[in-house]
Amino acid sequence: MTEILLVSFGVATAALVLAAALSPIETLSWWAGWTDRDATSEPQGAAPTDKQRAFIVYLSGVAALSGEYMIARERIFLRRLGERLPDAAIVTEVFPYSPSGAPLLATPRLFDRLWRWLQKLRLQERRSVLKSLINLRNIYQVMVSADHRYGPIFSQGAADVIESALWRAGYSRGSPVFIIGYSGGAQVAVGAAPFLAAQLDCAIDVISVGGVIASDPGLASLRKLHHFAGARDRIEKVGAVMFAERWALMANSHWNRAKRAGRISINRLAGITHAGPQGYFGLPKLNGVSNNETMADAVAAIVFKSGEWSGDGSAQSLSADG
Amino acid sequence: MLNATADFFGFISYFAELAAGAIGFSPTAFRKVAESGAAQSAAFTIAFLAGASEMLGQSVVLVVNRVAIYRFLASLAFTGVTYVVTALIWGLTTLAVAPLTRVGALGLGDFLPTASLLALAFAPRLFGFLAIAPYIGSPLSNVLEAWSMALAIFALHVGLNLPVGAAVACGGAGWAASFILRAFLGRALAHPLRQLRVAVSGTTLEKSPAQVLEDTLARLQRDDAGR
Repeated sequence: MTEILLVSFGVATAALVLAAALSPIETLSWWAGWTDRDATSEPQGAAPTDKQRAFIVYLSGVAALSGEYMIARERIFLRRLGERLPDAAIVTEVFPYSPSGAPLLATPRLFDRLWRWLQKLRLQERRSVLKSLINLRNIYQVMVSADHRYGPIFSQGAADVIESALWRAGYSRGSPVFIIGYSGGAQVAVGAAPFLAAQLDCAIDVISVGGVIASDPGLASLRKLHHFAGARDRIEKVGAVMFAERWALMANSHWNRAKRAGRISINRLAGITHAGPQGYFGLPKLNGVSNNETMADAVAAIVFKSGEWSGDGSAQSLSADG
Repeated sequence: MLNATADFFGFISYFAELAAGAIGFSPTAFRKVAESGAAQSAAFTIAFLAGASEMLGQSVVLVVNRVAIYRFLASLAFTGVTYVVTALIWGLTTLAVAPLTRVGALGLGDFLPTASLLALAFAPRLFGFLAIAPYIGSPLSNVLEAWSMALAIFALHVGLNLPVGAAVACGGAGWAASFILRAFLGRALAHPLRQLRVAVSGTTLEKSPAQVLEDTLARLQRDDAGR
């Protein structure tokens, strides 16, 4: 019995390491031009306007299969955010876990049939450990983004995908961009920031919702990282421990330098878990208000406070204090 | 035809058995290499594949520099050959150092078994391709290197019946020789090595991912200024 357990453990570990070894291949082949690359370009005739809108890009967590398929809690959160920020444009179509932005359900993909089958299981709400394969695949892509060898390449692709989505949403150069990154999406957002800031000539704020973020060079290009961390969110805590350069001991790391420069604000949220009904986007109401509403209020407040943009349709600028 | 196929699979099976034995610190595997010509061929094949695997693990450098696929494969083979050459140099160094230990001189006839034993010690690096794994890859690569170093000492101890102290001295000398070669001859050989590398990979392989980031940002800023 012990032997069987040991062999199973060995096989599982080997499979995990092998899967990790294969995970950068998508990024490397994309960079080498062995797969299709779509060029990103600013639409002709697009020029800065007097009236600047805030553009909010939402990057989903590691359970995402594409930018379009979101769990109900996320959709409700984004709807509420839209109600609080009626003049802001909210972009939700970006799939953050691929340098080309190609959703897992897109063809041709090596395992597209597997992802479709897992998506079917998910839609049928059937309990299966296999569903976590999607999370695992996307966690590996977060590690690719955080790795100093692959990160710059992956992030360049992610930035191109975000930029294209912004142009399609009517972005005008210089308008402030807020990227909400849930879980691993926050790492992708931070990694893409230097490319976006240079290409769009704008301030970038990342709003991390339980973000698993490495000490990424992209932190230096942010106006601010607003990091929300639930007190009962173990995943966020694992990220803080796993990425050693975030430790206080590493005083000269990108993370600690950004912290000293005041570019990182950490907001601890009592009782909140990483996902589920008690998570950041949870719907059950406690004291008359749900976590989902609280998060929508908090994110809307950040956008109001941080941006010089016309929140009510006029050309007024909002001060830093809102 | 059937015989050739049987021979091929026989060699693969023998090769796998030898590599697995070496990785597991099996004295039998190393004794086989010290005594048998077939095992010595397999040991050099292991060193070659370990080099290719290691290069595969470091392939981000090739991909970042956008080398063509056939040059990519040539680079894998080139690194494989350098591993075989390293084993040969290490073997020569061991012969040179042995008289300085209490073991006494090793004969020229010991050269091939010694070099093969050291080639077999590269076996853990067959997993060198795992260095490609994000975030955990680099520490994993260091573990494999330390494992190989320990195996080299074990190989000399078991395969040549050297006392542990002498094996450490000879193994350490081989490592020091490669270090000194890199430090002192590196500069002198830099030009021809660079030419060889360019011939194989088609690029100077000078761009690191961090430089890609800098280049791209500089280009974007130039574009921005031009707008």
